[in-house]
Amino acid sequence: MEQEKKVLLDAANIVKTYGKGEGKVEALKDVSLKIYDGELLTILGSSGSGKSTLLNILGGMDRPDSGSVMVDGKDMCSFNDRQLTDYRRRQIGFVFQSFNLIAELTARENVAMTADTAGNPRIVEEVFDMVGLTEKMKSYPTQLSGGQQQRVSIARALAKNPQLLLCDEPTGALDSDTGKQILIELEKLVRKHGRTVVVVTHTQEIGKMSDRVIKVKNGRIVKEIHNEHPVSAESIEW
Amino acid sequence: MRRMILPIFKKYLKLLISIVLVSAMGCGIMIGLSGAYVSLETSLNEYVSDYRYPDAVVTTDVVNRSRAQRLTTKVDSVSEVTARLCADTVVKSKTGRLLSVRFFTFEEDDRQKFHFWSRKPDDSKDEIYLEVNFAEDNDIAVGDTVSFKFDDTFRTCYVAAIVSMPETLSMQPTEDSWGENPDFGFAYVPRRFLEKMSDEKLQKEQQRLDDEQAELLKNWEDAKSRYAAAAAAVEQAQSEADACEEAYYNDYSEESEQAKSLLEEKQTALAAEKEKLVAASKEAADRQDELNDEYNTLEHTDGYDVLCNQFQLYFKEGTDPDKALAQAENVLGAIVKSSYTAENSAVRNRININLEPIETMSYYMPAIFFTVILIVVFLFMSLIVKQSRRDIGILRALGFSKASIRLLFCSVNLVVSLAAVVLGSVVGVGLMYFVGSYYQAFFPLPDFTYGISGEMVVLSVVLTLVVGQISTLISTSSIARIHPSEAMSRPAPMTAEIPQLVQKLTAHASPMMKFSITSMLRNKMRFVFSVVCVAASVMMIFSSLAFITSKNYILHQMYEERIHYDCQIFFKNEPDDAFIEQLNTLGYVKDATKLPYFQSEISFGKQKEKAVINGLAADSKLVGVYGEKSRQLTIPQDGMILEKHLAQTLGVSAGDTVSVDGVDIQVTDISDQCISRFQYISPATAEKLGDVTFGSVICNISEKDEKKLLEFLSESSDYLYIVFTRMSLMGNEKIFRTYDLAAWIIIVFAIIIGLVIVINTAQTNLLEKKKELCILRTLGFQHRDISRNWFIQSFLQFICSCVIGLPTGIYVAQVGLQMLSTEGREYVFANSLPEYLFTILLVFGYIVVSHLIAMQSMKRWDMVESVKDKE
Repeated sequence: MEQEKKVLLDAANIVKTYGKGEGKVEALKDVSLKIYDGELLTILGSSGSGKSTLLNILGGMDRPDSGSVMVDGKDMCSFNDRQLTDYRRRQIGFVFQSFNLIAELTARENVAMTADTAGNPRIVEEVFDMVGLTEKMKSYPTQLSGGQQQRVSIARALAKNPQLLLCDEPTGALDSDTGKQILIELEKLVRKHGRTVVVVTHTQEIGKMSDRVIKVKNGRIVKEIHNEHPVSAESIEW
Repeated sequence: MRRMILPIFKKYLKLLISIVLVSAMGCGIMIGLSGAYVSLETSLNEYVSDYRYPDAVVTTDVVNRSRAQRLTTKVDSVSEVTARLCADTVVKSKTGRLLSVRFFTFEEDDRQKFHFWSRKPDDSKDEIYLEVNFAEDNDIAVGDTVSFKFDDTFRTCYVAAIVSMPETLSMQPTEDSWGENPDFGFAYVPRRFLEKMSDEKLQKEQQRLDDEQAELLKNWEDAKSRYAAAAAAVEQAQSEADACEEAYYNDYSEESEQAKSLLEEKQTALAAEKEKLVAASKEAADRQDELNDEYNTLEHTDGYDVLCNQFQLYFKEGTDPDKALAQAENVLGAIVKSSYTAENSAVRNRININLEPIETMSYYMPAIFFTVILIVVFLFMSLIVKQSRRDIGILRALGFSKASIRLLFCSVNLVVSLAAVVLGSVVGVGLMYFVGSYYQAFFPLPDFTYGISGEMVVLSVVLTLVVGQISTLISTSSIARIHPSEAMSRPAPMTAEIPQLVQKLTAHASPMMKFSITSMLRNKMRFVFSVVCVAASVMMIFSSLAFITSKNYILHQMYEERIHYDCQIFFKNEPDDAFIEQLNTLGYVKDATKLPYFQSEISFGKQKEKAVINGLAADSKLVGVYGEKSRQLTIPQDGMILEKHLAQTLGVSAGDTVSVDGVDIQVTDISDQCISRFQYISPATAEKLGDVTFGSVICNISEKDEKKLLEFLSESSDYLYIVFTRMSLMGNEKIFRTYDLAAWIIIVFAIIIGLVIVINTAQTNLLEKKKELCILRTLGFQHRDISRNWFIQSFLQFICSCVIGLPTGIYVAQVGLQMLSTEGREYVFANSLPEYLFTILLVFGYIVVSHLIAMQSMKRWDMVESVKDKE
């Protein structure tokens, strides 16, 4: 399967260290990882394992100390700030644990603002339709529930029409029922719309719905599981 | 608790440093300017007392030692009297320029009263001392020689010293003079030198009188012999007539009839001759009396053509100067021309004129600024506490009491305030020495006693500490009341509170634009804080600039609107038309016009005021008379244009009739003059007033021809002095130098404080929106997109700040200028486009600079950390 699928992102020998001297923390130690087109990948790990650091490096929000991240044949580590921003703008969609919506803008405006910056945006109404939130487009974030806010967050990420959706603990701030709804949406994006989704989480159950699960511990990938038969998000309980 | 202080310092280092800097600036300007003022006031008073400025002065034509002696013996409270002669004359400088000089004599003992700036005494020469400013302005140094006009002849004098006396603080020929004039100065000559010259003059006068008397005596002898001859002829004629008459009655004939007629004619002629001789003898007797008077005058005065000879009176301690002066005037009797006590003197008046604006500038503006600074400090401190909300929540959760949290932040503030006070005191002392040295050089003062105003130091220290503590207590109280768990969580966004109007206005804007505008209004307190801080900067800069604008307006009103001539010449009497004609035919003098000059008493109802009146033709282009709002006025043929302040004092409005020295004149218009206030009447009306106080002529002349004119005028015995407009402007600019200094110091401080405030406001605003901006960055917004968005916010806040700051600045400036205005000088608020533009552009420049700094700091942000769900 790996040979058949197109590699979207190829990270090799990533090392990332924070702090100096005695306070030095090695967040990632020689991590290598490939992300394939159309897959649902879960990065599992406990708090402080380095999973979020890995996600941030993959998303161009942070730079590794060494190693490479190849995107379209170019090493992202050599990108300048402008190129990195461009990468985030065109190829990456972020979904945050705390939604990070702009409170002053309606749901539609939050999405539209991101779409305006993208090179090949989707129609805003379409993405709202995809996340099933058309009726709440004119609402402000404070007028939405947590699940609805996260769906707006997904819609915002999708509006840019990105190749890759990076989700950092997308269910972390939600109750399990609402979280499940979000996972269903993400699953739909992969299975129905052919998107590539990377979910970073510490909830093992979420791994069951993924095509691939990577376990991170103490800054290293300790295990990689290929799920030949992923379960549906609907059946996950935690 | 002590361990918690350091992290707070580390976290808010920049903001705390800003508080220290801004507070220190406020303290510094308060301490510095007030200290310099106190030092100046003390030094001026010491100068006046150390150099023994007299307690009272009586000016009179006759000043002699015997009268001085009489004053000492007859007025108990007088301890010492100095009699000194004074006159106005001209001195030719080494460049050949004729300078007007008022010279005073001094006794040998008086030397100690002078402050010698430089000296090279040489008693063997005819020496003269020159006042330091006058000498410096005209490049005259010790050892130079100048030509000193005395009795219509120039004498070469040796400049033996450059000196100053308290009276030289008042360098004006008359009270109505327009500023200091470098062409006019004070000189001092030893009395023996003047007496020598006076003796020479006396001898000449004695000789003239002797010659006249000899001539008179000779004529008298001739007249007497002619009278005797005439008397004998009359007697002879009478006897002949008698004989003739007798013959006529005895032997009448036609011949005897004719002889009788002839005799009668002869008799009549002789009688007429006798009458003439009697009249001539009476005239001779009268002249003899006059001569005797003149001889007496020569004997009983010091014999100089006096202008304002003076008795300088020194009173015993505890004397009421007004009463003692009145007694002295009684003793001197009718010869007294004028008098004044030290308190009412021109010197004191000049000191007050200089001190009043400096006092206002030294207390009022720093106080306003300090108040603004304290508000800003209050806001900054509140911000620090608000930003520590989460930390406070943690501390509360850990069991710290509200009081201990208050104590923590109050301790932080106390350290900051103390640092500000210490730094401010250092800045203040430095500023005091800087400004003080400038004051000393300006007046100039031989000694300058530096001393800080204790009240202002205490006030600034107490205010800094108290306001800091109060702001900390208020902010911590509100935060400490929140439940720890709530304090630790992120406060809910305030979207719903965006005003309807703003929502409507931004409904069709792009999401980015809407975000720019609405996110600015999200935290209303922050928005108000930002606007107030930037508005404070606008206000401070604008109001401090208004002082310079007002001064420029005064000079503009005087030298651009009013005076359109190059010089004004003063004479003892009004020059005749032939003289004006002569001036106009000199070739280099143009438009010479008489400007009759009256110092009159104007009364309206029960009110009376002394005022200066100028006679001016309605079609004269040399003087512009303007009313309020720069409306040009025409001088009426029969009426008078009254100056605004005088009109207010008298309660006169246009249309009223006032009495000028007993002559009724209708007021047709009210003019607006900030300084050197004059009333204007037509030449025809001037004739009704009678004799002028001074003759005055205005004319145009180029600078290169000034010397020629001065040479020409020096030939005239009526000539008093001349005021060249360009020199008068220089003089007025010199007067404004201390004012300028204080104003520019305030401006510089306002500019620096404004910059610190604006940069900090931008930084704190940026920090508050750090998360949103980082989200935008992670979503793929370029740095320049965010920069543009951020600039829109800053610009909108700047507009709001200008809308608040400019009117506040206008108000503060108006109040300040009103406080600055004195009886003789009104500082008005003048709208000046450059001032508005400068303020707006400067603060806009600050916005741009602070924006660039903020954007640079944004580049260093850790996006990953910022988007996490924590503060």
